[in-house]
Amino acid sequence: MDAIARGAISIRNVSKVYDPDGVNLLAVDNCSLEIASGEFCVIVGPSGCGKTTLLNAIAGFHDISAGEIDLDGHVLCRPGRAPEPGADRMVVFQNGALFPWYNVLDNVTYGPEVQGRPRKEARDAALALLAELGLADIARNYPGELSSGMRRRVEIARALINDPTVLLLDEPFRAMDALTKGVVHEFLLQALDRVNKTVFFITHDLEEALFLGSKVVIMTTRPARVKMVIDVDFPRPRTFRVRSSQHYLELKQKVFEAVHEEAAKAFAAGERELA
Amino acid sequence: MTTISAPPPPASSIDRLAPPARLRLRRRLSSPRLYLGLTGIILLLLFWYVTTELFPLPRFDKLPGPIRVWTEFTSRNPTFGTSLFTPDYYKHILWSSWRIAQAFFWATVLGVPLGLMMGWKRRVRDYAFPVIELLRPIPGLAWVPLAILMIPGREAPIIFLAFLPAFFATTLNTLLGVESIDENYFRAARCLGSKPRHVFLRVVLPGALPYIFTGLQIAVGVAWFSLVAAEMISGEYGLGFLIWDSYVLVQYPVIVIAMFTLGILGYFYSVAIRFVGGALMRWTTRAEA
Repeated sequence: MDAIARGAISIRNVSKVYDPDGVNLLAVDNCSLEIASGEFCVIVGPSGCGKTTLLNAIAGFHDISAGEIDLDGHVLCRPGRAPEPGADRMVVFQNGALFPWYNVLDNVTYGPEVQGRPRKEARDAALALLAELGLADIARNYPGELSSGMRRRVEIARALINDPTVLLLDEPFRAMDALTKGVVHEFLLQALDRVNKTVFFITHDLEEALFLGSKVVIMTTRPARVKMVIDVDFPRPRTFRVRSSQHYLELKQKVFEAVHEEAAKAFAAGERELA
Repeated sequence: MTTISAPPPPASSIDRLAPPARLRLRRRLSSPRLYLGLTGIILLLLFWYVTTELFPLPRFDKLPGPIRVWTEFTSRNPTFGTSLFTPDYYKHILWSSWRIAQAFFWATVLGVPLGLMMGWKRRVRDYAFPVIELLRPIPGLAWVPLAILMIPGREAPIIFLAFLPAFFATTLNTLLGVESIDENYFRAARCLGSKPRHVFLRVVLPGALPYIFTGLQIAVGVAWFSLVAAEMISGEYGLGFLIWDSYVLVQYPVIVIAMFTLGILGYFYSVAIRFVGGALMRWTTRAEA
């Protein structure tokens, strides 16, 4: 983009060792990845390979054992440094984390309010955003009253109202049926169209990865390293028609082969552990 | 799907429609539940009547039957001085209720914050949990001598005895409530920029609320338990005192009157707490769709 572009993430030689009960478990091993400002970066890889570990490190939920993660030149993570979440990096969680005790509006105003914005102002901003995203009708509903697709949209709105530079999504649409997924994908792309955010998106769904991402990063099986980076250059705004183009099918084939190779390795490793 | 834009949610996808009150009443009247419940109560009364008045069982002959109790209870001029129409009856109820209210108040005011802190801060929990687990199994009655020795006056020891088990129930349920909160809510709260006080007031407290109210219902129940025992031992008013006094004075119908009164009061308090809880936690009652 230009000089004021923000949200460039630099992951350099990051390793993370978990140490449960004295058994060292290397989750991420010497992983490096550059994500440009405004890029929609999708991470795919076998289950339990350490993708979420990386996301949690960027979010500031835990520290790393080696290496460094920077955001726009500022250090986010470094060994021995207490991790710190911040409103510049918003997370949409795997299983959803809307507060069930607050209605949609109060969930969306939560961020601005605790960050010190006046209540009235926060409410107006939230109502405006909800209206913009087509969620005004459900402002007074509790999350428990909504479908899973609807909850996901609200959670994205709750993240976006804080105007983060980075949006971190950890398999946000998993366990959703294909039709709902399609609708929520378009919702996410539209919501992001208006605001330029760097997105770090974890998924298992290769179709999803290619449809949403501008860059697909394939991780190796544990310990996680970058295996392959594929640029996805379909023009935006994208529609579901992208999926039937020849180029899409070629890319899909390429990604599938790479992921399958790692999944097979992960499976074999699992067999060995069991034996 | 023909349009690209995500359509706004159809309003019908959201179940906001609670049945109107009249419909609910009719549904309740037409379900067998109510009648099964009534049948159960009638069977109990019948068993009582048969075993005490019709064909008294060997040791049941001294017990007052339902008819005797009912006549006494509704008499304007009761043989033993306690009925619906005597001020004494209400005096006993008020004394017991007032003691329960105080015990319950202190159990809530001390137990809820302690439980919240224990659940929230590992360190507080590490200090307090062993102490509570050590004291909790001691039955309320075992505290009677110490309560009388430690606490001056006549009222305070009784209230203390009712307070104690209620306090433990409240504290432990609140602790359980905080522990039941999904870790992701804490992460989300921190991610959204919460300071510790926000986490406490906006995540820990509302997240634990369902368990807190379960705890309060249990608390009021166990408070009655101990209260009645304490009133039997010391006191000059209260339903526990009334039961013991009537036993000593051989006024058996009054015992049964007081017992039923306890049952009804206990039920009433439990319903009241559930009602307050429901009003504070509309998100749990509305989220059934």
